Amino acid sequence: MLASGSLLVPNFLKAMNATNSNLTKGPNGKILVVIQLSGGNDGLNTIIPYRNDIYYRERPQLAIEKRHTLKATDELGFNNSMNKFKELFEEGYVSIINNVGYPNPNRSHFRSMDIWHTASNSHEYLSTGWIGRYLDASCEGCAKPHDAVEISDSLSLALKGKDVKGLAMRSPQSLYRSISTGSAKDLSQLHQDKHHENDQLHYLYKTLIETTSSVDYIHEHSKIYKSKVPYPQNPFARQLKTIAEMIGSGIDTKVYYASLAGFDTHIRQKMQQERLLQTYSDAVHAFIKELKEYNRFNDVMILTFSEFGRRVKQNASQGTDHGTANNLFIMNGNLQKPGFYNEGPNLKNLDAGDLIYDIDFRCVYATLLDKWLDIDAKVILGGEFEGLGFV
Amino acid sequence: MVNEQHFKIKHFMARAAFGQRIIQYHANTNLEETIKKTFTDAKRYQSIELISHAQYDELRRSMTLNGSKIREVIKRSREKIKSINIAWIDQLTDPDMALREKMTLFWHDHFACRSNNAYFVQKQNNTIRKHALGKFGDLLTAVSQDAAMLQFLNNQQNRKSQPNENFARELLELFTLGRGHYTEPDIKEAARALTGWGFNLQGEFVFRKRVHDYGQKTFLGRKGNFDGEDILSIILEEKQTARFLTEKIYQYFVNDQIDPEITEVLAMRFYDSGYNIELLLKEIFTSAWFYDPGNVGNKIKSPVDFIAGLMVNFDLQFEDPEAVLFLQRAFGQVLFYPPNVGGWPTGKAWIDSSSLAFRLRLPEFIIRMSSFRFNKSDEDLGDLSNFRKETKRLRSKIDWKQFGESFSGTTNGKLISDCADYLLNVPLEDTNMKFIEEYLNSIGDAYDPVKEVMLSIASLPEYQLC
Repeated sequence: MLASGSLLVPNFLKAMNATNSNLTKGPNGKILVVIQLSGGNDGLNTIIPYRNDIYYRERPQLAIEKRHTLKATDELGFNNSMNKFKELFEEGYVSIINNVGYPNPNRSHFRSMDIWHTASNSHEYLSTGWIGRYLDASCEGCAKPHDAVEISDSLSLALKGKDVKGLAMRSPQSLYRSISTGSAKDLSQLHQDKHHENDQLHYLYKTLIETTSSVDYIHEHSKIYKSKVPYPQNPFARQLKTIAEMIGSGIDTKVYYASLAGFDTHIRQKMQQERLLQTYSDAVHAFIKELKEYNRFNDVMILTFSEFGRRVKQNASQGTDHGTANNLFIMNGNLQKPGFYNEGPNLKNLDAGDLIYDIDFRCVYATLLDKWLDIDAKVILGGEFEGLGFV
Repeated sequence: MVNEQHFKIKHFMARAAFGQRIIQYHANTNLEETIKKTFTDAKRYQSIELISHAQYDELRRSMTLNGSKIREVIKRSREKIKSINIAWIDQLTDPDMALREKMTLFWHDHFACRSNNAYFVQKQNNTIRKHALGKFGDLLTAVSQDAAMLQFLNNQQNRKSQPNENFARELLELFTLGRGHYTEPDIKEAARALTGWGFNLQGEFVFRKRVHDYGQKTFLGRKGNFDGEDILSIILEEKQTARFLTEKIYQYFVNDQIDPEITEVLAMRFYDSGYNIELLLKEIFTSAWFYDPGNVGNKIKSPVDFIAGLMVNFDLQFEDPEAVLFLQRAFGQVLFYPPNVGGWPTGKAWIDSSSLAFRLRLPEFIIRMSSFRFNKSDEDLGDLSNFRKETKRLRSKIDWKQFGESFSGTTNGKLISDCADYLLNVPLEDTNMKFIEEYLNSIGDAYDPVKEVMLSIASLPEYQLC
């Protein structure tokens, strides 16, 4: 009953179909997985400067005792809930970049997260995200929503470009059901070969058609590989498991986005943060095990960040307040510089009680864009940021 | 045959309000009268009074108690902000309040601000509402001396000994002149002039003389011992302020794309009128160009436009008043929680794969939930499995009888085009007309055709436009 419209397939769909057919041969592209720790993870109790007197002086109740840290170097050790993370570290799969931040740091969660998502300056308000702009720039109109997938109900600013936006979904099945049970699918078929004079209406139908196509594509391919590794039973681990299954199925998504929330530890931090860090490291460990099992870990780069670190001094409620610079983690099977990329934070030289950043987070993005996703970072970041040597 | 007036009224109501209720759709037959009534209605306004000063005082006093209590206080305050949000949605969808409320929403976005303090939130919202259609200078002064804003942009910490430029910067960049029309030294000098502007424990504006910088400042080429009020006056003397605001208002009410010839004329009249907001809007809505086809049905509804529009068009009441909060969260636009001081994104930025999929499905959820014949298990709503619990909240009452009376056409075709005329601001294409007709034929007599047609039309991408 419905017109198929196959005679006049728009270019962006042709491009999509072309990629689809390549897929059976298996992709060779590189993949970026971004893990967001929301709420501002306390980096100092994640990577512990266990020989630093200032650390113990400023955190009389909150500092992690030396005997409880998992020692990584003569100076730094991991939170004792991170033994799986330490295993990965010892295998040479982790590069830890210390003191990452940006000038004029903002201590509001939502503003600082915006800055990380849009890669803007502290006083600049952008409406597109760095991954979204990567989609915009990546192949002149042929990027597809599923080139960047966020495992979530709604799409983060990071994945919103001006012309192309990523795809948010809880799982391939959930979005497929959402699209296929209503009239959306029929409508997108009916309008496939139509051009709408009204620019906004055209955009709406274009988004609908691309969504249907991406969702169909993912749904079709997502059944190819089922996870063979046991994951912990929690929502964050399920996000990573979904990503592992999508990568294993050969889906040609280039950027995946996952997140773990709850790091805003103003009160009674210790238990809460340890639970979260364990959730994080156990899940990532399982994820990497799976990537290795199907031999793709060298193609997958994992970035873990949080919108800010926390103040050096503990507060009066056994917690910490919003801070500035923080450490971030890079993981891959073939890192150029595993271990600690640079020195740990200098607690002697603080800015009103806050850590001072050494490395602008946009240098990390620039490295990932230039050297991993193979695109001119200047175009995406709107400025020159020095690349780092971890790739 | 519907006439030209009819389309103009529809367009006017889509922009000056959130569309029309069915009763208005029938009653509004004369454009001039509709505009006149809308502006007359907007003269009156109703403040939101859900937290009294005494309650706030109690809240404040308990805040000074001890650390662990603060969380509890903030939690209670957040609950209150939810009630204020619900009350505001009520006012936004009240046909007699539409224009002032819509303009209050515009300024809420323009002066984007967050506060955990429910009393401050309510106070700022009422302040904006009061001045929403008045003189911009009055609005600007009131907002600049508003506790929530002073707190949000750290002017409370702006002291002679240690100036804080946050408010001064956003004042120039986002609230008045716009980027590129001032220098960094202008920000520094404005911040100096604004030292001492703060609020007291009662949430009232105070000028703290002891921390004010009385020295000479140079601001936008003028020299003097300026204070905060002088800075605001100088900003208003700049024609650029009128241009910046007019362009933003034009984008909000007319078209995302500015027509520089039109906005320049509007801006200079706005300036000459002493920044009379009501006059500017009247001029826009009574201009011939406002009704040009290129300005009709070309704006993507924001989530609040979309939610309020659904409530107005379907005359619907959610059984659980918190449904409107859930929807705002699901679509990413929660009143009183703008993403940053720059306000919410606009237009296409609202539409991505998942948000569009949810928008297209939402009318079905709401309408199916409203039906007493509804007997699907929750599992059938599983495509939004994460919202499964929440979808229960979308139970609502819709009076289908009134729509039945309005649209009981002789043929399916007539019924579809009548409903489309009511719900859409763009024409219904033949393709979609046929699609809905086929659907109607396929379901047979067991269903209420008016309901099915209204649902089908509200589930079209076209319904995302206003």
